[in-house]
Amino acid sequence: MNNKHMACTVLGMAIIGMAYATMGFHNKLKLAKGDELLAKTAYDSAVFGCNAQQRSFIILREKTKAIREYLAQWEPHLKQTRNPQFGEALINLRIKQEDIITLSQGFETVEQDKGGTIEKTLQARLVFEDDYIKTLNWLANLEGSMPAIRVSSCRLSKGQSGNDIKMELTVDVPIVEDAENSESKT
Amino acid sequence: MENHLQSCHDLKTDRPDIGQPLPGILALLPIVFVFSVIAAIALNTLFFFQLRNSEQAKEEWKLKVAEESAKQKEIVAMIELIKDEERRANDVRDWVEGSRQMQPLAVSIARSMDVKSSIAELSLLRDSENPKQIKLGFKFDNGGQKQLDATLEAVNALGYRSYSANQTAGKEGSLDYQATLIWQNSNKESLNLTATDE
Repeated sequence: MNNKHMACTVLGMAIIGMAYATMGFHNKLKLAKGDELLAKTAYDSAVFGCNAQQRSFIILREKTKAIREYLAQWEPHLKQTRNPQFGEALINLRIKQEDIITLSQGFETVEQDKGGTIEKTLQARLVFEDDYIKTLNWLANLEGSMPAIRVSSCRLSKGQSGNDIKMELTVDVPIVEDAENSESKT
Repeated sequence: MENHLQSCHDLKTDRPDIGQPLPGILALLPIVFVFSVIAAIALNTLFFFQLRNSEQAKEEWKLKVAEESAKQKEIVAMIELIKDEERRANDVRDWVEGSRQMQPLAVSIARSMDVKSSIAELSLLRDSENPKQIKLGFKFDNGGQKQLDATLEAVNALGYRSYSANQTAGKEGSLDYQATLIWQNSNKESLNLTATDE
């Protein structure tokens, strides 16, 4: 092999080497383009998914608008009594304000619905004996001033004198603690 | 000295070539090499920029995917919030519908009494399983069926409908009546409630 052969071999190898390197680089570019396409496809599906969620969100929001407005109207009344002590104090205040004759009263906290919105209630057992109009007006005022309360039972019977009636009431006061309060407690 | 060298040179005879001469086409090899170098540089430069752009684009797409995912998570959280609000609203509605005021009912029953009649006992108890239903029970003296009809009409006017009614007539027009009251939409035409419901 003379020098010319050697030179041709070297040049040939150099040309092949360059072609090989260029092809390698091209393959790398193809892979990168493939990755780019994958990323674009992922973006398209993410946009599609996001739009679908957005649509269902809007539909749900419109569908529940009325009931959520209902909740917004009632929530302040439900949160009127944040704890049993407060509820007890409110009922006692109503009794004192009207100066109604109370024969007996008892309060008890009752578990209502674990995990529900109204988890517990304050159950008040009250017995009054007073003038018919005064007693029923007191009940009206109580139900009016605390709209969220539930009168579970109401028994009316004749009182001991003239126009008096005896009223035995069981009142359930919902206790709804604020989320902020619950969090601060935990 | 010069003469001596001249004589040595004269001793060297011409020699034939050892290998075959290279084909003529290989004369183009240097030109092909030059073109290859130029093409390799040009192509690799082009590929390099394309690769860089592609990687940049990929990163941008990934960033956008992350943004969309974050947005989607936010929407999902809002959906959960609305669902939770709806659940609470339904709980509250159930509570409120089972907490209709009782005082108007008691008053309307009391007011429906005729001058000659009087209530001996009146009880309004909510069903513990279904608080929307109220168990009504009352006893009155004098008046009989006519008084009962008047009382039930008053109850009906408030939007309640009675069922499972049970009545026991006593002496001198006294009557003991029990029924379950169900709230009806007040906009609906009121039903005629009588003791003959049973």
